[in-house]
Amino acid sequence: MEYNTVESLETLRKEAAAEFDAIASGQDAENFRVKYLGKKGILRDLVKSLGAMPPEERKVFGAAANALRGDIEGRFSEAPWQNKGAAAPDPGFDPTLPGYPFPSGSLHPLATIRRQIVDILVSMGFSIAYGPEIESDYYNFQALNMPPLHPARDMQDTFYMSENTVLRTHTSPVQIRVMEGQKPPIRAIMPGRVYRNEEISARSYCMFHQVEGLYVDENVSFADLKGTLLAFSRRFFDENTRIKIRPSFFPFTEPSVEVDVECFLCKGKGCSICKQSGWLEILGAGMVHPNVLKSGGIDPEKYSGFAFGMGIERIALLKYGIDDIRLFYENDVRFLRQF
Amino acid sequence: MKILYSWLKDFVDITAPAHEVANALTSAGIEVASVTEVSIPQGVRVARVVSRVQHPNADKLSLCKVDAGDGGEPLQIVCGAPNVAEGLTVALATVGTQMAPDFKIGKAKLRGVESFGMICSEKELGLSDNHAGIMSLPADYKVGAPLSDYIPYDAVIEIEITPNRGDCLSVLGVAREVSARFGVPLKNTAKRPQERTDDPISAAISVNVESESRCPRYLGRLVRGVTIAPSPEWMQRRLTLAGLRPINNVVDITNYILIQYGQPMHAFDYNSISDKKIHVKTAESAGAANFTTLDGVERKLAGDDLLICDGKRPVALAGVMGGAGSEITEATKDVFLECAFFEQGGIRKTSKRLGLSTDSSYRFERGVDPAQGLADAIDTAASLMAELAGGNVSGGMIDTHPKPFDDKVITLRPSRTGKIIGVEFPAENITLSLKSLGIKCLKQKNDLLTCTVPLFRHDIQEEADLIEEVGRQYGYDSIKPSTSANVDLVRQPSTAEINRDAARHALCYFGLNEVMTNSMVSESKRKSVTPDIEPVKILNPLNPDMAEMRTSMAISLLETIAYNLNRKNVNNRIFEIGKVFRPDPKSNLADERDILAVAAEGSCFPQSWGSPAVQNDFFVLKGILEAFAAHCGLEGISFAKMESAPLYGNERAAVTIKSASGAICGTMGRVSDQICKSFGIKSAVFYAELDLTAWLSAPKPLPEYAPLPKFPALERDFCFVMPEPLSAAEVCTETMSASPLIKAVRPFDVYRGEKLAAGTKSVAFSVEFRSPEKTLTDADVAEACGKIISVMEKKHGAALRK
Repeated sequence: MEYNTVESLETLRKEAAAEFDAIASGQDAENFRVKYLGKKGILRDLVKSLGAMPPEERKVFGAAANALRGDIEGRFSEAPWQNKGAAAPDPGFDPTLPGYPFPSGSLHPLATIRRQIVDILVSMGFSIAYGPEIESDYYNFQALNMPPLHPARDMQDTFYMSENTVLRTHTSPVQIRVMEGQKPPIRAIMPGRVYRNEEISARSYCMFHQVEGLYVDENVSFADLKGTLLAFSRRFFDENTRIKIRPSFFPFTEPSVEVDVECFLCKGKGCSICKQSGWLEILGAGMVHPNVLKSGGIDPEKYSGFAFGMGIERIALLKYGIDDIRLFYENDVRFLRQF
Repeated sequence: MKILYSWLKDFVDITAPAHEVANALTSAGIEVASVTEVSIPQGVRVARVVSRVQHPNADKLSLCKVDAGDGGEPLQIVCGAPNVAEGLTVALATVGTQMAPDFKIGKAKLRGVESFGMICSEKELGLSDNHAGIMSLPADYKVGAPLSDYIPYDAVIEIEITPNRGDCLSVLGVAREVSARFGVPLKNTAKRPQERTDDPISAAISVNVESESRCPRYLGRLVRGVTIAPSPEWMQRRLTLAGLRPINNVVDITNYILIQYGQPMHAFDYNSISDKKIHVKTAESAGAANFTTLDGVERKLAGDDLLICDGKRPVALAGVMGGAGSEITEATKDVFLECAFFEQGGIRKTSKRLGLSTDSSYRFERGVDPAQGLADAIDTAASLMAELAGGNVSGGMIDTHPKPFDDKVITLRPSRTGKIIGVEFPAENITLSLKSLGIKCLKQKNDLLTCTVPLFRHDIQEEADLIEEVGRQYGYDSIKPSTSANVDLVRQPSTAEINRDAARHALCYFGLNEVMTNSMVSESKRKSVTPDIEPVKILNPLNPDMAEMRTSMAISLLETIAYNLNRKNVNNRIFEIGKVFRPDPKSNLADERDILAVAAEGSCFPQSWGSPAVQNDFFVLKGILEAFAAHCGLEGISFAKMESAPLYGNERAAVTIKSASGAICGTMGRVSDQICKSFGIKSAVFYAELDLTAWLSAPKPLPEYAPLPKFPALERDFCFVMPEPLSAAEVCTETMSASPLIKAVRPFDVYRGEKLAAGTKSVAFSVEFRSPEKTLTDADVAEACGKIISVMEKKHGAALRK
């Protein structure tokens, strides 16, 4: 068809619009472009008709042809699929195929809980101290007010490497090492691995991890201990958490207490995690026994202090709702990848 | 320990129900593990079996006619107990009785025969765990009466006593705490026996304590003419509920005293005591090497074990267990009662060494009351024997320490109490609060109290212990938490924590799973991985698989991989920062090292629909270590050939990373097939370890900033055929030294094949040239390129491949 009148240009406009709307693939788009906008395309060819026209008609037709070309070029270049470069819709592309399996790593849940506990206590001004896992009987027991034959030694079944060397049964020996090496004020936490010669079951393992805290200065009181543990519990569990303190016994503290923290899951109403009591036994604590301060070379008349300790495994079991402590050390990767 | 609510009420008039008492005890530091109520359900009646015949359709069932005392016809009851018999007085749960919330007695048809109730066992009534047969009641119980008339409500409060509170291992001790908590006075229930003055004990037996420090006090009483028989119902019930098995009246009385006063006693058959003499002396002094205890076990003695001997031989292991031959039997007529205070440490030593812990040794180790408690216990026991076994108590009591013991007086400063607890306590309040615990305070001056502490409170030795009592009485929940402690202080970063986390996070980012493994390993595994390293051994391991401290993290990681492969978990890539241990002769302790260990097995990228699998191999692991070093800001990681290592096969290398704290050293490689096999692993495992001990505690240096290059780099590729032994590292070092313009050398292809002469390989590498001053041209690098070629050709016998 010859396009040499303004009317015929209207026909051309309709035809081009219909073809444009029917574009369904990159190939369709390319065909359209060649047919209409290419160097030998219909719209380019229109100018050839101009030569044969009378001047007035040429003026009107030329303007209309230019307008039509502008419109089609505009529509074509602004088509949504033009934004992805040359890629027009591709029916062969399936975004639901799986991504290439990228190995995803994980951090051990015990390490994560340890990190959370340590971070809070560090932000409360405690520095971190470490000690050996193979420890002398002196540091593990005697310096902590547990002379040989003290019945409290029964509370901790002990692995012995020799008569005077043990696998530490708690992180408390680090308290003595810290006090020996540092003058008050002392504000330290001691995370670490400890060992107990106990049968392995879902509830207990022959080793576990503790975080111990020690604060020694002039005028440190039980009220400070309570304030510190309340602040810790509120930051670790929930800002409204309550704590409950019961007398207990540890040879290295006097008074000694157990600290129950309001169950974070049921908020004290009673649930399966807290065995319907509303409270969780989380911490042991107390005022450092004068004999222990003396072991550390600190004058108990001038200074006083508090100490506290918690088990990382126990908190992790409660927090994640895990029912078997052995899972932590079996390291089944299907377990590890959940954290 | 099980404490009966009714028994407590013998000592304190409390109206609070058992669970309230339990809560009060817990908040006093006596942790209550459970409260079990003993309550005979309404509808359980005393009844008598009138007749018993075999059930027509069941061998093990009886068909009984039971008189329920309601005036009606005897009820037909089907009973499965083997001990049901005609004439037996029994507990009958009648139809309609609610035995438990979900168990109501109804009419039932058992094997075709109707049954109108249930004859109960002790267990069914919550009186004991005995379910072997039905409970037989005393014949004098009135048929038809509710059983609760005879067995009133009670509750068993099970408590856990911390080792310091030996004084609470008794009904009396717990009652003291209840008395203090509820402000109810403690009643003295001790009985004094009627004595036969015509039969003085001093004429009948003598006691000689050789070692007074080991036995500060020994009391003895003689009860003659007892009749051995079962103890009365009420005593048997209390003992049963407290968890003890009734035996006979004499033995039951000593056990009753044990529970009531926490005082262990021993009853000897008086007529078996040779020469009517008792000597308390050590095994060494007695010349005894062995002793057979009541349980029939012959025990080897140590010289300082304390013995009770008669004129000829040892008759008891003091405070631990009596001996065979002097115990109470059916034939016993005269009983010599021993009630002593043995020194704690000695008993503990013997008990520990023999592995023999008894109710008796447990209490002596924790300390009993050497004063009034001892006398109350033996007097009450003798009275009960007169009352319940028909004995006559001989005149007087043997007492090796008739003078009172010195008072235990401890000074207490109210100011110090306030300082430790964080609450101010006026002296008057302290005096009042300690009084309820039996501690008498006297005000000496303004800030000084002298406190007289009962001798049974072995846990109170110094001021700090009294401060605890004040705090405990005040109640820790009443103490206002100090807000000063609530303030966030300046964070003091810990280098070790930061570095440890940097390392852990790096490996996690690289797609590895962090593990945490046991540091105790088996000897065989340790020998397989590190045959030449002397381990630290555990004298008393839990089991042979945990007999040594690990000498290499490889043991733990290989075990973990084996564990996962056994569970069909494939493609394992794991890491841990853990400790390894070696004996340290310098310190007597151990040399503990912090080791980063990485192990990989299977594929790194598993096969997928559009990409092939990439297997974990030596160079994947090497890449992980290189990326680890880069992530941790450690420049200069190098890998060198390693002569031999028991852990690895042929693919292995020594790893060194430069750091400000000194070189981080390690090894890596493919674990030898033999070791994999010993762990039960069939696939190839690649393992690396780095000793991070020094690095962990070294502060991380600031990154060194280098300005970004202003001019583009020029790259040139070279390919040489070279002798096999020439390593990639040597090629790179040699090339780098050719010109300061060379910034990097990267091998990108290694070829071996038929086209090359034997013993040679073709290595292609690209060289990056860069100048800080200008854009380089071919001419600028021509000289350097020539130098590379000439060095490679002349020095290393390589030939440029065209």
